[in-house]
Amino acid sequence: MLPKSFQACQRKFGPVRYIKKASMIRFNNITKVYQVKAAGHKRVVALDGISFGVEKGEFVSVVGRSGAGKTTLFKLLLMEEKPTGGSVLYKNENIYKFKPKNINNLRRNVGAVFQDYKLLPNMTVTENIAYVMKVIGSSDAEIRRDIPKILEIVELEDRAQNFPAELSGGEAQRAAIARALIHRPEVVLADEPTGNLDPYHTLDILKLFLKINEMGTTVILASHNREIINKLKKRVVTLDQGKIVRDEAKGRFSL
Amino acid sequence: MLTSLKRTIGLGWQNMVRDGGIAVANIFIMMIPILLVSSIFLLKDISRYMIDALQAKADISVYFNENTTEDDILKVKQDITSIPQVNEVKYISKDQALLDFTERHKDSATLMESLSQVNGNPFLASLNIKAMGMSDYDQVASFLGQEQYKAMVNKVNYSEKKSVIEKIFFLTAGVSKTGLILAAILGFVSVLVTFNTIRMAILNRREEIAIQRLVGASHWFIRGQFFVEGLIFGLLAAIFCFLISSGISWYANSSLEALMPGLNLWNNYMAGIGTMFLLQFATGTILGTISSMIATTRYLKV
Repeated sequence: MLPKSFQACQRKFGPVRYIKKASMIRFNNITKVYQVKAAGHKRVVALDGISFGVEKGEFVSVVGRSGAGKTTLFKLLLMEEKPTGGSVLYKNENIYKFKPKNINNLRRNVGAVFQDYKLLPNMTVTENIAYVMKVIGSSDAEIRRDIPKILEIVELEDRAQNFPAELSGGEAQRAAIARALIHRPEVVLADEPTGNLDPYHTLDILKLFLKINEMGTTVILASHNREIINKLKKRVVTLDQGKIVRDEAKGRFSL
Repeated sequence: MLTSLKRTIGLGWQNMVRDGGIAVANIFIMMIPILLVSSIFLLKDISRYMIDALQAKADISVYFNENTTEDDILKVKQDITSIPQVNEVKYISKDQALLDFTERHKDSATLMESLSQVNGNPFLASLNIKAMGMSDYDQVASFLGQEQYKAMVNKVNYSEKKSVIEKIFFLTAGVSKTGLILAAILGFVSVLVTFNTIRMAILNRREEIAIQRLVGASHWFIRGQFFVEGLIFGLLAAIFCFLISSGISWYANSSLEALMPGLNLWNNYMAGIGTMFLLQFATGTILGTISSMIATTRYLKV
């Protein structure tokens, strides 16, 4: 079905080719099925024919109960896993046809905050953040300049030289957020980024995500925190048992 | 490029220092193949000495009739020396043979008494011949069987000594062959052990490798760190092995010299010290870097 405005155009000017605006990220009929060995190779459908797009500069919340498929969606976008069916397009290109170099570039363009933080255990907070900058080829001067700033934003200045094992859950989460944002990625993927934060830090981190989104960064946030989703007043994609049950602009958490 | 290299080296060094326990274990395991290579190098002189000593015992003697003049015998000596397969020919005169016998058996009263009862010198002049290899003795014996020597030659003890000579050469060939097979088996096992130890160490860090991949690090950026780590392990292991092998050569020298006169292990070691260090350095670094690279590849597929 063509948009109403486009139909009006056609009536006025005759047949016109409709070019659908390309999404920055597009999930096309994505299916992911896991074979659970421990349960006698039982098939578990994590995602079942999901299709939706995310525009450049958009802020999208993906909500759903535990096991709804939010984390799987992120894993597919980061190419941590391959889908059973369907494709994921990044800037109109199927990421599963990427060459290794392009995979690295995709991951460098995406700042990811993982639910389990995924901080490098043998590196301090500063070194974890610096690692990403080293990967993208930032100079030592840039590393020295930017890291104190991001540590100040996430309030981890006094934990800069601590190892992940010495951090609380909330501190590790803020370190992971700092690492995801340090190189100003095009897209930020945040999987339950406030799951371990106290209300004070939750609000601050949300404000930070909104601010970077205002600056043009695309943000995709997965959460099952009703309060924060409703506070955001942004687009909400609701997943349930691997399917999209709602996709609303300025949506609310309504499961 | 230079910055990236500097960072890779820095990260490799940092990983090694922070995982101290595993680093120490890896270095110790890597010392096994290096020490094995070193011991082959050190034992080479000892086994050569032993083989030479054994082979020196293999010889045949040709005894000449009483009426053969010394000039004729020396002429035969010259003929035999011209055979390319002959290593050494020694002339033992009648008088020398008697002297040698007396010296050898001076403590045996029975033998000395028997000798005194014989009128004059009962010994014959002879040529003692050492050939290059076992099969060459056959050729020397055939040479002495020629018509022109028949009138002079009293006896060639080849048939009596044949079985002893064969045993000596079989034994020395066995020593060399067994040494090589043993070295090959031990070398293979130690390479396998080293490779698996490094693989286990890297297995511990597969999660870390996966994280590095997820933040966009290239294969070579990650591999480089493990390459540097492997290189440092190999280098340190080579240095320790160099110190150990130098110590052993110095310490064991006097004891070995007493056991094997003429063998100077320390001098031989010092003469080949550069080769030894290069050998240890190459074994350590090649083993360390290749094992790390192979082991890392498996976990880079994220």
